[in-house]
Amino acid sequence: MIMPPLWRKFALTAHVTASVGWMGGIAAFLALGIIGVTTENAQVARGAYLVMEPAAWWVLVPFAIASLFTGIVISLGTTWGLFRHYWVLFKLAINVFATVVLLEYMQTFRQMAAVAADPSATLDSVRNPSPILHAVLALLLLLVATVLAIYKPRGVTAYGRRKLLQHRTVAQR
Amino acid sequence: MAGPSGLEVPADNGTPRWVKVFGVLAIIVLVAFVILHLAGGGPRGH
Repeated sequence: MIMPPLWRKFALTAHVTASVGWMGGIAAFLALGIIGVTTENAQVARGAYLVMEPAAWWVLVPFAIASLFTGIVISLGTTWGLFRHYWVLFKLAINVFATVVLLEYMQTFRQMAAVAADPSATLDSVRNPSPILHAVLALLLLLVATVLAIYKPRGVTAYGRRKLLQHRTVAQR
Repeated sequence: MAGPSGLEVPADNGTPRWVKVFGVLAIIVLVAFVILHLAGGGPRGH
C-alpha cells in the first residue's frame, strides 16, 4: 500500500529524527566512555558507568526501535519496498543488527554499573574500554546506513525484479 | 542512482559489485560479533 505524500513525509520526518537522535545518543555514550577511561576523578569515572544503563534505556533503545519501526513503515508505504532494492535491504539488516547488539549490550551496561557502584572496586576495575569500542562501531554502522539512504545505490533483488515485471504486465493490460 | 518510480526492469541481471562487497563485509562483521559477544571474548565486554 502506497502512503499519501503527507503521511510519507510525516513518516520520513519521524525516521530521520529517530535515526539522528540515535546517532547523537551514541556520540554522547562515546564521550561518556572516553571520560570513564581517561578521568583521574574516581567519582566522575564511577558516575559515567552508573549513568550509562538508565541513559541507554531512556535514549538509545527508544530511538533504535523508533528508527527501525519508522524505516519499515516508510519502505512498505512507498514504491521502494522492503525487499526490492539492495540498499533498503542492507539498511534494514544494519538497523536490526545494531538494535539486537544494543539490547544484548544492556546486560553489559548493568554489569559495569554494578562494578562502579561497588565501593570496594578499584578505579582500574571500574574503567572499561568496551563502551568506546561499541560506540565507534555503532557510529560506523549507522554512517554506512546514512550513506546508503542518501546515495541509494543501484541494484534490484530477485524479488524486486519479479515485482517490477508483474507491475509492468499489469500496466500493459 | 535508482529512482523509486522507475518501473523499467534493469537490463543487467547480475548482482552489483557493491552488493557483493557489502555482503562480504556483513559476513565479516557477523563473524566478529559471534566471536566477541557470544564466545565471551572482546575487551572486557562481558
